[in-house]
Amino acid sequence: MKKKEEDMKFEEIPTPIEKEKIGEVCLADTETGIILKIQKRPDELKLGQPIIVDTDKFLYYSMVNRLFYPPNDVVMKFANTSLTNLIPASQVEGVRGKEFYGLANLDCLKIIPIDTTNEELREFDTIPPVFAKCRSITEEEIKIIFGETPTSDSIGTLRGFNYKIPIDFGTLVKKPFGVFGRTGIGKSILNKLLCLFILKQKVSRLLIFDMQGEYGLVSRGEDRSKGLKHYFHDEIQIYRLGDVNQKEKVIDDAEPFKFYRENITSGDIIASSQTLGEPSINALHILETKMRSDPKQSQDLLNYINNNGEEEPNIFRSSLIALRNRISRFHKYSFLVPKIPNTPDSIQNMFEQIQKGKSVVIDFGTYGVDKFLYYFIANAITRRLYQMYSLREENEDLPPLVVVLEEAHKFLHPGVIRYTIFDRIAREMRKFQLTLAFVDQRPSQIDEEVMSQVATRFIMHLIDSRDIDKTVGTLRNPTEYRKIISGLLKRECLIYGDAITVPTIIRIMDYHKEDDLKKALKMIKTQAEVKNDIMKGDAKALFK
Amino acid sequence: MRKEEIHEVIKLINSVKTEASKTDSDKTTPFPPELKAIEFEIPINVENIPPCIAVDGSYTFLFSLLGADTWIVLFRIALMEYKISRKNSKIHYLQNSPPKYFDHLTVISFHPDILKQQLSIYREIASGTVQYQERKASLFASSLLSYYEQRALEKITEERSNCIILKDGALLSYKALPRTSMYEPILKNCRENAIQFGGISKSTQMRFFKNIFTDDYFLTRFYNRRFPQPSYIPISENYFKTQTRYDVWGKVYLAKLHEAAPKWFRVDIGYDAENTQALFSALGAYSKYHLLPGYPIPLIEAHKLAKSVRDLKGLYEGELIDYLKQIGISPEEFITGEVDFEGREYGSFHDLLDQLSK
Repeated sequence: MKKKEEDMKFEEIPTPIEKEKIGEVCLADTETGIILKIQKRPDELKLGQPIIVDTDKFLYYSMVNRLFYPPNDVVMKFANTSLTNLIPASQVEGVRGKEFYGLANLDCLKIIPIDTTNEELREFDTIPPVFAKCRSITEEEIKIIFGETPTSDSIGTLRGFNYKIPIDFGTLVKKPFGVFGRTGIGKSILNKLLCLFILKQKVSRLLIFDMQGEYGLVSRGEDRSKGLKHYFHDEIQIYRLGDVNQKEKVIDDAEPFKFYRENITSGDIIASSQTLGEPSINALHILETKMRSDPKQSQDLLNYINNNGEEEPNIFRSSLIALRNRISRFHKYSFLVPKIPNTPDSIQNMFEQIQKGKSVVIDFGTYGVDKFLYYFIANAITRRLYQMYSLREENEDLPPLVVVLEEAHKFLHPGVIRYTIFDRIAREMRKFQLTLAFVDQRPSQIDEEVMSQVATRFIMHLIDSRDIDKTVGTLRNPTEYRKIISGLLKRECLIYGDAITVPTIIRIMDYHKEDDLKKALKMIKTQAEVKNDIMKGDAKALFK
Repeated sequence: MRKEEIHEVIKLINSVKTEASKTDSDKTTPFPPELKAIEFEIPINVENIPPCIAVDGSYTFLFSLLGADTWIVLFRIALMEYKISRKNSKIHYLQNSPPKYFDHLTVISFHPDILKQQLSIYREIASGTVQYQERKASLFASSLLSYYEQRALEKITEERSNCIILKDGALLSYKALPRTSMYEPILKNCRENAIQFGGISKSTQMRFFKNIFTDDYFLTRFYNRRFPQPSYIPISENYFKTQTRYDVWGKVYLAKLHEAAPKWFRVDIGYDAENTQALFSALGAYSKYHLLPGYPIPLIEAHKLAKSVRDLKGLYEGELIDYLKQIGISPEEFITGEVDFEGREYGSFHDLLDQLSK
C-alpha cells in the first residue's frame, strides 16, 4: 500500500569526541607531510610527539613537527572583545566539535602495513585517506616499528610514554656516532649510559679521555655518581696522568700514565695549541723533518725545538719564539718521560689491555682543567692506537674500539683537522674497527665532511641555530626539527641514524637511580660490589 | 542611462531617506504608547532550565534532468539537543543527546508520471508552485522542506516531554500551500507533553510599527538604548487579522534575547505553559554564546548541521554519479545536468546567451 506521509527516521551522529582519537587527517602530501585537525586542545600535543594515522591498509607512524591555528576571520574579529556574561566557544559542545581548532603538521616516518606477514615497513611513499583517524602509538606498534636485534638495548622511553625504545648497539659502534647538546644539559651522563650498554652488549671496547674524573669508579663531580668501573670493574683499566686530591682518592687499580717524550709529533703539538699560526706550524714541520732525518739525533721533539731553529733560513725568529712559548707548558708534565729502551710506555700497555678485552679510561687527575693537555693527549694516544690498528697483520684479529672524544670540535674544526689523526679515523675507521664517538656542544664547528660520517646522532637541547642546523642536516625535513631540538628538556634527546629505525625523541633513563640501571644492565650486583664482598670475605652477601 | 530616469531614482531614494531621518530625529514617537517592552532576567540556577531541542532543515539540488522539469534533491533535517551545565563555576552548553539528522534523497518533478508515483504532498506542492516559472523548483524544494520540518516536529513533540523545542522561522502556514493545519497536531502534542514550543525568525518582513524599516531593524536601530536589557514586546493578534495570506500558530513577539544581541528577532510562541516570562528567561539563558549573543545555541548548531548538506554537495554528487551511470546517463549529461544548491543550472542556455552577448 502506498504510504500517505513521509516516515521520519532519524539517525544519530556519534559524539565527535572519541576518547582515543587525537584528530583526523584533512590534508596529505608526500612532499610536505600530513595535516591533522586536532580534536581537543592543541596544547595536549607537543612537537616531536609520535602519532599513528590509522587506516584499514596501513598505519602511518608520524611525528608532530608543527602546531598551529588556521587563519580565522571570526577569531580575528572577536579576539579582545569582552567576554562578560557570555559563554566562550571553548565551553560549547558544537556539532562539529570545537568551533576553533588547531592543526598539526605530521612528518610520516614509516608506513606499517596492517598485514605485516607479506609486506615490510615502508618509507612515506603514499598518503592516507582524508578523515583517517589519528591516535597515540601502542607498545605493540613500537615493537613492530623499532624491531630488536640481539644487540639491541634501551637507554630510555619514548617521550610521553613508558615504551622502551631499542637502539642497536652493534650497529652504533660500527660507524662514528655523536652526542650533541649545550653545556650542562647532561651529555656526559648520556654518554656514560651509552658506554655502559656498549660494555653490556660486548660490541666494542672503549677508550675514554676522562678530564673531570667522571667515568672511573666514582665521579669526582658534584653528583658523585658511579662510573663505568663500578659496573664493569674487571673490564675497565684506568690510567691516571696526575695524582688526585687525598680526599677524592678511591681504590680503583689505576695505573700511572707514562708517555715517552720521543713519541710526541708535530700533530700533537698543533692539536694541543689550537691557535698556532701558520708560520709557527711551518717552523715545527721543518724542525721535525730535520730531526727525524738524523737517526743519531735524539728524537725528543720538544728538546729539539728548544735547542735548534735559529740557524734555519726559512724560520722566522718570531715564529720560533711563539712555538717555544707554546711548548713551554710540556716541561711541567711529570708523565712525559724519556724513553727507556725495551720498555713499553703506557700507550703500548693500553693496546695490550685492549687486546685482552679491556676498555680504557684515561683519568687526567689534577690536570683535569688543562684543556691544552687534553687536546695533546687525545691526539697523541689516538694517533698511536691508529698506527697499531692500521699496522696490524692481516690475520691479527683486533677487537673493535670506540674512541670517545669530548670537545670534539677542538680536534675537528677546519683549522686543525688536517694536522690531527681524527680526520683519518673518521674516514677510514671501518676497515680497522676503530670508531669515533663525538661528545660536543658546538657541532657547527666540526668539519663538514667529518660530520657527514656521523651515522647515529643523539641530540640534546641546543641553542645556537648553527649547531642545530648542523646536527639535523641529514634528516629529510631538517628545518622542521629545529623547533623540536630547541624545545628539548633535560634528559630528553632526539636520536636518529643507523642505530635506530626512525628519528625518535626519548626520555633518557635516570642515571642516578642505581637500582634501575642495574636492572637495565641485567646485574644483581655490580662487579665492584661483588669485588667488595670478596675483599670483605662476606660470602653471604655474595649470594644475596 | 537617461538623465530624467536617474533623477526619478534619486527622488524615490531621497523620499525614503527623509522619512528615515525624521524617525532618527524623534526616537520615541513611532513607538506606540500602549506598547511596553517587558524585561526578563536569566535564572540564577541555569542548571534547572529544561533541555532545548532545535530543528532546522536544508536541502541541496544535486542534478537536473534537462528539459524534463525534474531534479534530484537531498534534504536534511537536523535536530540538536542542549542542556545548560555548570562545571568549575563556568557555564557550559552541553549536548544532551547526540545530534540527529534525517536525510532524504528525492526527485522533485513537475512531470505527471513521476508525481503520480510520489506522496500526495508532492502533487499538492507541484500544483501550487508550477506557476512561478524559474523559481518553481526552489519553491517546490522549500515547501517540501517545510513539510519535512513539520513532520519532524510532529514526531519529536510526540516522543519528548518537559523540554523546549525551537524551530527556525515563524510558526505560520501559507494559505496558498498545502497542509495549512500541520501545526495542529504539533501544538496538541506540546500541550500534552509539557513542551514549550517556539519559532525564531532570523529576519522578518513584519512592519508592525508601520515604519519604512522592518520591525527587527527598526527596534535595533531606534530602541536598543531605550530597552538595554533582554526584553520582549508582544504583538497584537489584531495585526495579523488584517492579512489573508497566512495563518499564525501562536503568539508573536519581538525579542532581544541578550543585552549584547546584534538584533531583535521575531519570536513565535506556540505553547509556553502559561509562563511567557519563564520561557523567555530560558531562551535568554541559551542565547549567551560569545560569538552570536541573542540567538539560541541549539538553533545555531542545528543550522550548522542542516547546512552541511550544502557543504558536502560535491561528495554526494560523486556518490550519485556511480548510480546514474548504471541507468545509462552519459558524462555529457552529468556535466550539463549540474546545478547549484537552488537548482539553477550551470552552463544553462541563459549563461551561453550571456557569454555570446559579451
